[in-house]
Amino acid sequence: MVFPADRPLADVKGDAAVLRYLEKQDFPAERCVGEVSTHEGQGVLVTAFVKGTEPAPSTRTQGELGDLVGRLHALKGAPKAARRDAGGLHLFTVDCTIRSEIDTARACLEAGAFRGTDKAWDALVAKLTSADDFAALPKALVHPDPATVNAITTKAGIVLIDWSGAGFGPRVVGLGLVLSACVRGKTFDREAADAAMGSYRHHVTLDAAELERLEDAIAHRALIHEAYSWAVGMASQRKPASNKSWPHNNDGIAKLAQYVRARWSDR
Amino acid sequence: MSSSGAKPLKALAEVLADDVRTPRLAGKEAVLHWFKTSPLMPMFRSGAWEEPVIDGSVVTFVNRFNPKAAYYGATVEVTVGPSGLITRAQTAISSAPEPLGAVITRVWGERSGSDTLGDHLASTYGVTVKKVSPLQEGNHGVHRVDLATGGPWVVWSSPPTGLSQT
Repeated sequence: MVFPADRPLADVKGDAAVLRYLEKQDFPAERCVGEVSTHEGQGVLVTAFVKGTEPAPSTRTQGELGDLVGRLHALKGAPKAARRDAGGLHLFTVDCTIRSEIDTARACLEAGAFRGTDKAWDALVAKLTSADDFAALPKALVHPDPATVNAITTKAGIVLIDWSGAGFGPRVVGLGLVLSACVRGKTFDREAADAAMGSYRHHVTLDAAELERLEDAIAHRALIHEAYSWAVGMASQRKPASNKSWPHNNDGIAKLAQYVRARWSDR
Repeated sequence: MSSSGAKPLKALAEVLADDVRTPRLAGKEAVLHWFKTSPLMPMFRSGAWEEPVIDGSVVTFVNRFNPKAAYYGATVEVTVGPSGLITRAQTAISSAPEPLGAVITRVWGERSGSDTLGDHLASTYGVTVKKVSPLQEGNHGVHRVDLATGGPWVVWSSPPTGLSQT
């Protein structure tokens, strides 16, 4: 696997293309205020500051995020520059795809093993090796991390920010990222899940294959973050670290996915 | 810097040019002082040197630190001048093998050019920049930029060093 030495300028221009398309659609996102430029070899994107605060986790927030992600996934007619493959976090990938996110996480786990491994490492490698990239499932314009950390509450409602690497990816992963905030260890917040699903379903109806893969989609990013917690902890602190979300939340994720399939598949 | 028992600093002094430079130091005495006092020295001593790679006047040495060390290793690149002495040296410390090292740099590493970003924005976009500050602590690639008129802006710079070959 060969990775690029730098994030190409074309990728940053793609970020700008996504933002301009969202502006035309009147979708709540940050707005470009100038052309992409280059500074010391880095692509520079300039956007208007969005005034507000990070929304607190709540049923209402989940409903608003479900609505925004549903609106996003239902958009049609995106320009070619915005139709690049996406879904993964750009800092953790070669090309912003879920496949690259999985492969890079596994490669980093193996690299982080230079001081040794443990059972958690074995479990993470096994899961990443068999992880689905959801490539066969329906795609839509996706935000790579539609969570409260990338949202700002304004007078006009929630605005999603940080669209670096946004493009076309499996929509079930985007919804899974919203639903992952409803998980509470071995269980889940049913009201929050209903709020997210109810508002998402105003715009998009998942097909049977997506519902079947929902559990892994909800768990996907937690698995990636856990792999980096282990590897970076081992590299920098000389002992593996855990963010306590994978596999700790897997029971709750399984129950949530089962609930969504039962409650929302025929509506 | 080796563990052979030779006096490494004395040997180093014999091959450094008087006007040797590093990205942060100038002159032989400054470089030797850094070597005497750097907390990295025990890691160099306990590490293992790989065969150097020679490319014209540039010689690259890689040291794989002991796995118990705080960092994974170091790459030392020196330029040998016409006199046969080292005129330039640069050391890069890596926290992990690739591609993990590159991801750590991408996510948590300092970005170059932050100190000149205001000038870049002024010359490129024709604005008067009042202040450039990190938007969030630890998020090195995102800046809030306050302007004399209008704004503020948020400036997103892509990582200078991406993932490299595994």
